[in-house]
Amino acid sequence: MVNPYRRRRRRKVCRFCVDPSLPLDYKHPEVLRQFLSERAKIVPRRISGNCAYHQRRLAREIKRARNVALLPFTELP
Amino acid sequence: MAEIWHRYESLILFDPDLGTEATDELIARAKEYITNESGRILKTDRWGIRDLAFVMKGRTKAYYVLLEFAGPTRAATELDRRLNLLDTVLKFQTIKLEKRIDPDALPEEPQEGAPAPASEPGPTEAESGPEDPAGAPSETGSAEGAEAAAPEGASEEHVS
Repeated sequence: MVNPYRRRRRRKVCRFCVDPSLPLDYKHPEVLRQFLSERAKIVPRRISGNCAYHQRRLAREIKRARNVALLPFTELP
Repeated sequence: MAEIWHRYESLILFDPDLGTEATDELIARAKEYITNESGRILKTDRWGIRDLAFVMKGRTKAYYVLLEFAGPTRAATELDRRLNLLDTVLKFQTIKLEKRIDPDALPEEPQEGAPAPASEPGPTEAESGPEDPAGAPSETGSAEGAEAAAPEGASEEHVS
């Protein structure tokens, strides 16, 4: 039975798994910033599609980057 | 059996208003703190003056220097201790890149790398590799537990 209300959505993939050359590192704030919301919150895995392994690493690196002011803790939209 | 060596990386944020010589002198001093504890400098990367993501101690910019070094734990703790005493250091963060390395297998590279482009910390790729050995990276143990409460390796930064 196909639910007519359900739209087919694109399958989300972990960007770090797809592209192993994408640096996941606190020294690359421009990469990490893509995983921050407008208010500089970490985008959940549910939204970003990251795998658990890389999401853990990502969160760690974002927090490291925040400590040295490469990324904001908070920001106004 | 001597001490166990680890590989570290320390990102130091200096006061941007210091002159070039004063900054150079401070960097040299920071290196001394490491070498005095028998550590070895592996890489010096000057990112130059960058904008801070937020205002820190009344500054909106800082002079970023990345030091990669190897040494026993006391080299890292001593560096952290000394940097905390300097009021020209806005902030710093030391991260353990690799545990239990062989001091004899280190590459001989004490000279200073060319000043990196200030806007882009890209050329620091070399050491991003070993940062991934399945949970191995952990930071130095002297947690001051500031704000970060990251899981499993809370990066501790020490406010000076």
